[in-house]
Amino acid sequence: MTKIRLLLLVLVFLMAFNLSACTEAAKTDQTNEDEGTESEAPIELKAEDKVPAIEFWITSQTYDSIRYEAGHMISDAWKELGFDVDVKTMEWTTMSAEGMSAHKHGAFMVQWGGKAERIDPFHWLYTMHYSEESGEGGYNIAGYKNAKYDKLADEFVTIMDDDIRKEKSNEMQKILASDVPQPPIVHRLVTQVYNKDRFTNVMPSMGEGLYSFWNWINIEPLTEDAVIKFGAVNDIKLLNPLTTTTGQDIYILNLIYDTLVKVDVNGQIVPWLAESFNVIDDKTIEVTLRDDVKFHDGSPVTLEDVKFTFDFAKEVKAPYYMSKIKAIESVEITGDNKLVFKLSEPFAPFMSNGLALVGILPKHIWESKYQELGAEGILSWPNTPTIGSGPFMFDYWRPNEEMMLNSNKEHFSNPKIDGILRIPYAQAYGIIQALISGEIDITGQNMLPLDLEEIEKVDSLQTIDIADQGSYMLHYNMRKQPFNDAHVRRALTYAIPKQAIVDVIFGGKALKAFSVVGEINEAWHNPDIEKIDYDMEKARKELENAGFRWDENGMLYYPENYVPLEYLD
Amino acid sequence: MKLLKYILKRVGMLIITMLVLITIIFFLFRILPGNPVSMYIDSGLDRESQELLLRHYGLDKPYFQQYIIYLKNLIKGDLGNSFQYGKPAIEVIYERFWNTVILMLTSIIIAFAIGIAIGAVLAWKRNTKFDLVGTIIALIARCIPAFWTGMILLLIFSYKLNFLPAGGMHTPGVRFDSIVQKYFNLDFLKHMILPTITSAFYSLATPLLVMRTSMLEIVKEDYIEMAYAKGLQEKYIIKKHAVRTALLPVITIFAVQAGAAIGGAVLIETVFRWPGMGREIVLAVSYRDYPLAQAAFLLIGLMTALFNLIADILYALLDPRVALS
Repeated sequence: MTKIRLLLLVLVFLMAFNLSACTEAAKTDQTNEDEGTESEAPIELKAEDKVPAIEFWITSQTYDSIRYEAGHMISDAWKELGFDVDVKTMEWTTMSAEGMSAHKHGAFMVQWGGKAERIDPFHWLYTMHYSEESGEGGYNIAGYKNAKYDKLADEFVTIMDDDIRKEKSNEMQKILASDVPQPPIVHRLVTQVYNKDRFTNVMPSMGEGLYSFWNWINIEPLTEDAVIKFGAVNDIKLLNPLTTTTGQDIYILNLIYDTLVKVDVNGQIVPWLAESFNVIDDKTIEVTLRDDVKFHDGSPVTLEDVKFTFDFAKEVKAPYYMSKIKAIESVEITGDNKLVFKLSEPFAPFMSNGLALVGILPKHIWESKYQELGAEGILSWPNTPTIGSGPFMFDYWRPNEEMMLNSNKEHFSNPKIDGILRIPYAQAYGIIQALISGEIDITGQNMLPLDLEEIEKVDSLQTIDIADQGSYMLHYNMRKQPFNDAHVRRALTYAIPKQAIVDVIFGGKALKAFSVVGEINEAWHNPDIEKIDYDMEKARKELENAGFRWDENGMLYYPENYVPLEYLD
Repeated sequence: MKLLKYILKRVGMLIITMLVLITIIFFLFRILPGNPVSMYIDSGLDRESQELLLRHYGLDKPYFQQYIIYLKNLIKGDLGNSFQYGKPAIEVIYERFWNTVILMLTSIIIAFAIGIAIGAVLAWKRNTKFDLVGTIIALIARCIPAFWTGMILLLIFSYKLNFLPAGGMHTPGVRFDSIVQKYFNLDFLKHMILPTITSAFYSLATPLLVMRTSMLEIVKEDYIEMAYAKGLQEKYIIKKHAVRTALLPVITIFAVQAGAAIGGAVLIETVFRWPGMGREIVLAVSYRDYPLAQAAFLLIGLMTALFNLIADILYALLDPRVALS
């Protein structure tokens, strides 16, 4: 019977959908008729000169109301400019496959997370805009292939000197801000909540907020009950660091496994399992290991374990680790507590995007499991109980119910709390009610303005606002018309009502974004760039100056003898 | 002998149905755009890692080859490894399955007990105001979505009155030493009250209305009049003569309802944070975890088909009017 009910619901929706489609169709019919009757239409506007329709994908309102609402606001402004916009609502998995992987989109939005490893703008500037990353599955979603930019990107990624890298980064941000292949729209001001009567000294980081590794290490209990209850929407999935894919799993694995270095809240690389590290030349890095660390089963962490982790991940082609370690040619033990990483070619973000993300595995466990299960089997191994050397230890996990981590009191950076109880709530409102009733103490979930009204009534709950260095980005597809023209991209970008999106959709809890490297990322952000903000007049001028024309219905046409200008320079 | 042949024929049909079902499910999921990697792409897996993952999942082969491999493994009883959890899909489902069965079976039994009783009374008091009001309430119960009832109950009994837990199966942080302890304790019962009521309320109308209709037919029968004529007490007539006979169709729909309820637990499990199979199916579909989704649908399909088979056989056994052909 439930199925019939669902079916009915779907039918009603379909009907509503059809109705709106019909009215749409009726409208276009009408305009066609209008065109037909007015035979004096200017002759120079040939049908083949009409700017092709833009296919704009948005998520459903329930999946992400922000992308849904903002999508409609942007498409309305584009229509006002004379573009023919076809807005399509899609399921995220579909959009991700068709857009992010296959690059079949016209335009669509992605909410990019501002994880700690992205403070070094390698992801934003190189991975997302370098020409060789534009193939299927690559992150250069727009298909940006600017030779001048590529040269800067090459230097940015191979030169180890941070000052030179910053120079390059500034110049790259400047080019992108004017060329706008995929303009950032806003950075969120994420609002998270914790119970200030029970815990203090929270330490959020830009982009990760209270999910930050440093938060769990530093947070202090105020009562006898020192286990913090942490509410999330989704449960973790797989605690095998070789194959894990979800951000949630990675957050937990980061607490259980130690990495050689870590990215601190300001984006600086700090030694962790490594006592120190030394960049000998741009292809050689020497690491000195701490000698006071033990795995949770009591055996010490040795150089052998470190070397094993990297060799093993390469041998079994571990999907998650491979992208972090592909620059490594070899790992050699060179002394009592020293080893050397040799890179096949210089790779400047090797620390933040490599060493900082690879948890060190206990050789004695993984080697024997590998012999037992083989290369394929080891990648699917659930790996519970999870044994690492990190500040938290796996206790138990009841899927979709709860997961318990105990503090590792022997760790060199031992947590102040006794443990973390992580509870998945399936729905955001469940988290809010659990915060109010005191069932949980903290959440990494972003609170929306409506939820905050309820939260603020409870004295013990403290909200904090954290700017996200990640952003909502609008991805044009330069492989398709009309996005292959810089003037069109600039005009479309001028038409994005950024302030209205901040005010109306985010209730003020967001910052307008102009550079792909967020403003909050002070170390890398370049404030001295062109800031293309909402201005319909300038949008129109941009097109007019390039020779674009409008018909009597306000629809946009290409200039005569049109040659698109792909890049400004 | 006739019965045995009937059962064998039914089982044969069931096997064919299941074969068609698994084939449709197999291709349906793969036709859907996207793959298990696309859900996480923004978390930063590069191209090579994505390809490695797809190869690891066996999704780099052509569909037909994948299908043959799937069938071969299925015959061996291997439903494949869940992409999300890395362990056999059947194991993942098994952990959630009992949580769902305990919840849904309890509520179905309650719904049928209450539904049958009220249905019988309504039929006996037919054409009175009592009957009218009762029938309308039953119809309303049938029409209110279960998640709505659930949310209203949550709002009243947990958020406002703080009387019952707001979801989950146990109080956070409780540990168990055994399965018995997991399901047989006061804490678990307390967590079960609201979802059971919600689900039972939703399932109430079907047995109630079927029972009422069935009773209405029966009370017109000659033997009821005969019983009156014999001077038997009304209560006795209802209990011994009418209700017993009227129960037959209700019992057969029980089997069908039970199968459907286990498949339809999605909404209730999501609202009440119940760690059951329904929630897992939604996740499996949106994360494109093909082996897990296939296994879950196969199991639900099998259950529904089996329950239908049992209902058919029961009917044939209980009611001689059903011809065995």
